[in-house]
Amino acid sequence: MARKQVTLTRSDVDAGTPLLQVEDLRTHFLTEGGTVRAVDGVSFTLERGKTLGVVGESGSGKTILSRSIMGLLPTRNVVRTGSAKYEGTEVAGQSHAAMRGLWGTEMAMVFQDPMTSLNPVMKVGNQITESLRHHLDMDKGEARETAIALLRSVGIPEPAQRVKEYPHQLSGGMRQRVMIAIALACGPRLLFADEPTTALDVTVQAQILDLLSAQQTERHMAMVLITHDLGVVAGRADDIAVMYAGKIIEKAPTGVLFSSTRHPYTEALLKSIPKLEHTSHTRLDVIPGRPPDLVSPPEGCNFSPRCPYAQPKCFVEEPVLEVGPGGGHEFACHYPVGTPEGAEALARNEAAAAADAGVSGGVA
Amino acid sequence: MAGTGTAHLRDPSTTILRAEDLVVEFPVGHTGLKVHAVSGISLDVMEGETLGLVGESGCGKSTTGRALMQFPSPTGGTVTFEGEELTALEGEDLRNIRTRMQMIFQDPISSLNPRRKVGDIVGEPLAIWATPTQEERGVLTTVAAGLSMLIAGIFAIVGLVWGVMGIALLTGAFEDELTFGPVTLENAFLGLFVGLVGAGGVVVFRSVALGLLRRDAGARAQTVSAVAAAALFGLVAWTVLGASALLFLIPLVVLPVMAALLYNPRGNEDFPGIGPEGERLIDEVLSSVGLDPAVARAKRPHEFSGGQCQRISIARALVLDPKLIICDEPVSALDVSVQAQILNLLEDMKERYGLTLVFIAHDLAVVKNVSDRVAVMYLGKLCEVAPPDLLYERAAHPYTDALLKSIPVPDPEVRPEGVAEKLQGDLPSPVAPPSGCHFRTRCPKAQERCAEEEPKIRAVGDGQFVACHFPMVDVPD
Repeated sequence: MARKQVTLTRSDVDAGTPLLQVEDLRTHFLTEGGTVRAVDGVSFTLERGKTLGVVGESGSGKTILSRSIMGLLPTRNVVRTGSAKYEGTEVAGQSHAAMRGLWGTEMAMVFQDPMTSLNPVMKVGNQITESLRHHLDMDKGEARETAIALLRSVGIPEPAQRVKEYPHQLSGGMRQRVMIAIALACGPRLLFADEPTTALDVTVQAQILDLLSAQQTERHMAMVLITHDLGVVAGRADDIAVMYAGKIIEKAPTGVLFSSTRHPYTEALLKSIPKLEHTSHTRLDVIPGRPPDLVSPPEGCNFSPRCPYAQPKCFVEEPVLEVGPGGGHEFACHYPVGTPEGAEALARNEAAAAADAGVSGGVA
Repeated sequence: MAGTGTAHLRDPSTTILRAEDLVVEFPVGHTGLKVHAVSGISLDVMEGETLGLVGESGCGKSTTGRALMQFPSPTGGTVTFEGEELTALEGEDLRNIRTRMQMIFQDPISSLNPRRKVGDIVGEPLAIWATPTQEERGVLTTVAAGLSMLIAGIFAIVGLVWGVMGIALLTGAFEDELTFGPVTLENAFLGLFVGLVGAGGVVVFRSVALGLLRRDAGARAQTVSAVAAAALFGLVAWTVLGASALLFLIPLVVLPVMAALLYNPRGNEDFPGIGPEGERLIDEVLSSVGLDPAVARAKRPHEFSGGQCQRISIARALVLDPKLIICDEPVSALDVSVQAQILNLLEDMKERYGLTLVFIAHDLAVVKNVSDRVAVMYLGKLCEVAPPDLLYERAAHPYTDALLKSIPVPDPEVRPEGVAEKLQGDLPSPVAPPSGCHFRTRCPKAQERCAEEEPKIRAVGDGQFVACHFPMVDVPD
């Protein structure tokens, strides 16, 4: 059967090749309303065992990015271009049948909503053994033992009992642990975690994130951690890519991104998070307006209509993602935060706003 | 984590909402077991204050919020709002109270009817409480009450004349034969009776008409008595006159119809209804939540983003000018940037409309940002009540401390705490909560005493109250 055919396998590659290399990946959806540019020219490289945090608001294309690489998109009305190389093998644009050889054993995914991602009429044990038996050709008993060991390793108490239970008998945190166990079952070397903790409580979120990092270290697995919460990636990712309207607008090692933020959007995103150390009733800084329409994005920089730094140039010329001075820190902005040009642009806008207020105040 | 006890409650004369020993239990199928969702919580909120209610999912915070609204009413305990005891209220009285207590729900998209226009959604509370205009009421009352009074009046005159004449004939006052009916004593008394009922009907219908016109508080009782009078009237007429009594049944039909048209049982003139004044109010609340009424009113919820839908929900809650809004996880489903907009909006609305808020959320950072007082809940009990800044500076309850430590900090310099520091495991089942302190099964400081004795809430500092045998701060004696 076609299901058993493995057309893509990991070839022996020299250690110098990065685990995942994405070049100018684009995923456009053809809809009645026009072409939705969900992912619009994304490039990044992920080394073995490292974690890349992908951060963005809903609709920024972060989920579609991971699904494009995994090949988990519908085949109709989707235009995919660009390249994504997994250990040197091109995976972008491959058919589902071809990708099946990589799913589970090489790359796996943990989905956002553990309530709906598990099969409600199948015992959790069978949901784990399914891939073990298919990919690793284990017999029934062996697969069962492995499933129990996996559940134990993701911190589920009494795993021998739990394999016989159905998803509704487990709490949300437990279900997400089961999801992780399924994803880890065949020992993937690349894990996509798509908002793995968004549906969970803070206390459980911390447990799940700890579990993911522990498993990652143990298995020397690379991870793409997708989230809208900068707090989630801050302590856990090696690099962070911030996405806005289908593009990466800033990418840097985690420490650098937080200490010397360059893109105004990243800065605004950081400022909008309520912080515990602020006294209560501290006014939050908001990003004015809404994310752009991905069918007809604004001209020039996508963020320009909402940007406090925006200058006339930003509305015409789109900035490209470039490595900034000092290296290792890429950002796409004409007037980056923390640079003299940026400061000057902000001062100019603030002066103009003050003048406007002055004028209208005078009239009133 | 017992939270039984009321040490943290303030002087009832200063609070707008006060719940004492609130208990909510739900049956588990037909097993006879019960889910102890809320087990003896006491809370109070001062006017203009924001009370934050935090805890993990399943701790009973949403159930508490709903119990405050009597939605459903709690199994036990009392809720006092503006001096009125709510748990005893039902029907229209409860509906009346709810105009002053509104609710905003977690999922903004599913809490709006997808098939209705935003203008109608926001205006619905006004439509529910609408009263007919003075002119509508005048015309209707004149026609309906006039007709009823006319019929009752004819009845009264004919009946009285008949009765008086019958008695006069029987006593020999008249010599001539009279044309209507055989003259018997029974008929004469019936005639008198019909006449008196008719006269009574005139009086009752008149007062009903006036009551409906003025919208007296007793208008409903008057309508009921008028319908009863009309029924009696028809019954008597039927006995006496047979089929021709149908004429006298007209008030029986006319009056309830009139009452239904005029007397919307929920109508309340404190609200502007759906006239031009109502339209203006809908526009005002929509623009105050940051939507353009001209554009938004004709659209349906699916044309808006999650954040905008939450704004519409807030507008709907504001339109009746409530005193208190219970916000049940209003920002949990939103992106951080939108979350900030909604949190700021709630603060603005609070100031502009003089609101008191109960803010339910699982994110301590969010709750801290908006609250004046925070209550931490665990498995149906209160753990700690404190001003937010103090709570963050020195958490007294081990659970509060664990919650604070679980929050991911957007700063890579702050390494996540070690696994041992964090809360392990899941919430125990609320069907069979642990003995003593509910938190003891996950508590790093639990001792034997915690299993045996439920801690009482007590003061540990300036406005800080904790329900723990071994609090993490020094307890003043």
